[in-house]
Amino acid sequence: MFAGYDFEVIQRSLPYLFREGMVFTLTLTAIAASGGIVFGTLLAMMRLSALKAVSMLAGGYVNLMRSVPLVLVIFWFFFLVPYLGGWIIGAKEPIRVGAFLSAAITFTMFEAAYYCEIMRAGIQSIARGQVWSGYALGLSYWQTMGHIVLPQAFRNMVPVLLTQTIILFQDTSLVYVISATDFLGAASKVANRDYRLVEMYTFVAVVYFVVSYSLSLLVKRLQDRIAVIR
Amino acid sequence: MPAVLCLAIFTSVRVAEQVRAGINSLPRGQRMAGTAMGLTQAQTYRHVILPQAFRIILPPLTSEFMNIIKNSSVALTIGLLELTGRARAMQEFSFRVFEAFTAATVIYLLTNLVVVLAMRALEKSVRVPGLIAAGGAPQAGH
Repeated sequence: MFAGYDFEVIQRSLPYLFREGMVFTLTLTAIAASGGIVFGTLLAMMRLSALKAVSMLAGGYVNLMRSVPLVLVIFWFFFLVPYLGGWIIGAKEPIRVGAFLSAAITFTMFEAAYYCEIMRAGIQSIARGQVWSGYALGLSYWQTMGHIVLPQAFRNMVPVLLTQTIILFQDTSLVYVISATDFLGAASKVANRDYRLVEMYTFVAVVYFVVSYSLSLLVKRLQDRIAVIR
Repeated sequence: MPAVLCLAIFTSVRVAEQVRAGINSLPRGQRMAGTAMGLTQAQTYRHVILPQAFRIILPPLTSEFMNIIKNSSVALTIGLLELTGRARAMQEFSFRVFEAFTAATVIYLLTNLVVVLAMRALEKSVRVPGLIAAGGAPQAGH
């Protein structure tokens, strides 16, 4: 099987793979994770709101995003964001949105739904009395959330949030359906050019495995360290 | 066919973790009691442990079921014309972006709704008496 295996093609394309591909993947992951956590936390607070309309709005958004496949969402945003943007600014033609911007918006919006569910569990894991004592001390809703509830919720949920971010890192490979050059996209371009499919795809699989597995080991250690608290 | 195998292997890994969690959530005494009654290990699993474990992990299994439906859309990368792939083809053929993707979205929503309702009914009918509905820890994933 490995008789005609050509390691040289991997070595030759390393700079391209990492400088173009991996940078794209990591930037996208970082943007989507930070945006998603912020937006997701807001969504979680909306979902737990006492106002029925607000919580139903957030709940509908989360359930919609969670029951549609990511590939379909990527297509939706890739084809619709230009039209929507053009419609908003009143332009006749759809505006130009690059693959990267489109992907960043998609992943932020999509992952926000998943981060929202994690943060909701985190907020709900805080004892109710803490919120009441916050109010009793005269803190407003935002102060109670910002100083008492959210710091603890984040702390409890850090392992799950990180695990979700690792999954996000793997999911970014799907941007290759809109021909963006992420790590997988770069590899598949080289693979098709040099007709070295087996070599490139095994190499990509190994890199993804090493990165994800070592990160998840780190998360496990972190989990053991902060689990003592209760 | 490769797509079916791929999805099956990918999902089985995640289901394995959940079944493990389900088995771990049972008190150890049950296994011991099974062995004390003279059951073999296989019999203990078959008659005591697994019937309970599967009923406990039904909620995460529901989301895993929905995940398979959603993940099947990734099969379009190897040229399989499933729902998303067909919507994509429709859009390329007719330039009707909204119509094609709206139709696909609605079909996914309906399918997942059916799955949720069916699993909820199943959960209700096979609930383990005496247990509060097990919520389970929050889990990352798709």
